[in-house]
Amino acid sequence: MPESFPYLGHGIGLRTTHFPRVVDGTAHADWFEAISENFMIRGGRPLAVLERVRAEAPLVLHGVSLSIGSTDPLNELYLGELAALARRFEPAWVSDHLCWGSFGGHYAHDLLPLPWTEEALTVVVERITRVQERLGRRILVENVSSYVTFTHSTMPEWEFLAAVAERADCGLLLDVNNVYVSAVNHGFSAEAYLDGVPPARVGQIHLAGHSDKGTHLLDTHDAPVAPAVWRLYRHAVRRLGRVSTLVEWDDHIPALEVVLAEAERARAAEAEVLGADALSA
Amino acid sequence: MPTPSLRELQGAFWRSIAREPGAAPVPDPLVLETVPPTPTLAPAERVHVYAGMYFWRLVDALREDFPKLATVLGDGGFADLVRGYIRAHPSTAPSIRHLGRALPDFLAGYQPAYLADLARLEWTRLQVFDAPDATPLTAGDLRRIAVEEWPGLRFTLVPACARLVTAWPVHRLWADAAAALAPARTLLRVWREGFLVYQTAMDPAEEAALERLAAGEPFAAVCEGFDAPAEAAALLLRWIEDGIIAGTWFGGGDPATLPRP
Repeated sequence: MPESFPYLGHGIGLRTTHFPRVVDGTAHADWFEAISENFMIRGGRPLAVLERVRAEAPLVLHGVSLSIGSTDPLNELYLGELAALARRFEPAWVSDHLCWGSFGGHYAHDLLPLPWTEEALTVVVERITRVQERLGRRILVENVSSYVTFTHSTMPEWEFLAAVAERADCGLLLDVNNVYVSAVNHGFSAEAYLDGVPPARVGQIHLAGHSDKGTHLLDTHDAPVAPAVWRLYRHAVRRLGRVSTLVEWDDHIPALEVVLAEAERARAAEAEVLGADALSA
Repeated sequence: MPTPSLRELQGAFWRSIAREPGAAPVPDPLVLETVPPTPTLAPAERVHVYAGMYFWRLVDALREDFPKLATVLGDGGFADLVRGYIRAHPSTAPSIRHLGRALPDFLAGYQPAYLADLARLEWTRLQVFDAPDATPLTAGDLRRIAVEEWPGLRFTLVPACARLVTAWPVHRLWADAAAALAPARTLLRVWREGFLVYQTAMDPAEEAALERLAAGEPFAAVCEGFDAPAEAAALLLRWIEDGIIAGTWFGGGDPATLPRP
């Protein structure tokens, strides 16, 4: 399983504001994650920039609209476009989210929450299986931040996530910030969540900032990674070993150097944890 | 209480967040039955987090696609418009770039009356921005063609070029968003050069000439309507400088199949 998802080091999300730096060749990161939907267009600057990125560094395609947990039929047109994008840019992998985002042919453009039930598990596993067949590759599925739970859930989220990975034979994109946000919002242990994730399935880690709204945390991706999330990242590395790590910063995006510094901070944390573990072995 | 099916739950949740965009309506009873409270939030408040994100994400996306319209309407006015628009036209495509497609038509009947034209121009700018790439013809390319050949020469336009007729001179709002506009039939050319989108108003002579050129008529026909061929040539050079001419071909064939010089 791990050989399907190679170790890429520490990367950043590709954002439009930083395109000029990509074009002038001064955007240096181990790897980049691009939002698939932004490149499902016929021409123009975004595709040219993506070509430039791909020529210089590994690339990963991260989607937001696969709606893997929806009860609508899978969108074959969307899958076709995603497959074409993957053929053209040869990403290290393709990923999307463990959620639903469409109903009755309408799209919410949001990551809506699933109940953790056997029925939902069956639906998700069946759809991931079909997507992987269609794309001819395994995908990574990401845990999302959530703001509701459902009383008829029959298992904790991490158990659901682990079962999805095993039954669908897919990878996991472990968003450590989302684990933290959901843990605070719903009152569960973030460490227990990390300890419940099967290490062999985790192909990528996400790190991002969030906002504290008082009554809940909101996954805003518009701030530096919080101290509690850095602590959780260290816990994850201790358990999982080296995993390709990506820093997401989607709003109030600072200068490229600031985002790259977060990636460097993750690299240092990983080295510290693994170095310390090597010393104590 | 029987366990709701996944589809029942998703239908109830979707209605709860999308039924009244920008408001905080009482969630569907099924949702209220299955979402527990937390120490800090009641079930309805937890659902409202999603209702708020749904609405404001769509406002942000439309503001990005229609920035001039958003400026003209102001934050409150724009949010009001989006409220009504999203209720009538919820998104039906996985990519959010299609969200605003019906907005120009939705604005027919709105006041001020030029809003629909403004939205059409901004939508056109978006299409041009994402249009397929093409290498434009250069002045140097043209100089390689003997002068005697020019009357029969035909041209193709790059995909990233559009022409638009509006009832109001909405392009003036780019110079002054508060400009008072009077109705006037306006001929606009929108094109992409490098990575930027440009627009300009055309006079009737340029519009007619570009129409003929785009229809595949030979340069001699494009020159009709001008007092001197030099005027048409100057126009052609301007179009070439703007990068909107893709290639040349000669009559008797289909421009799509003939090789470019």
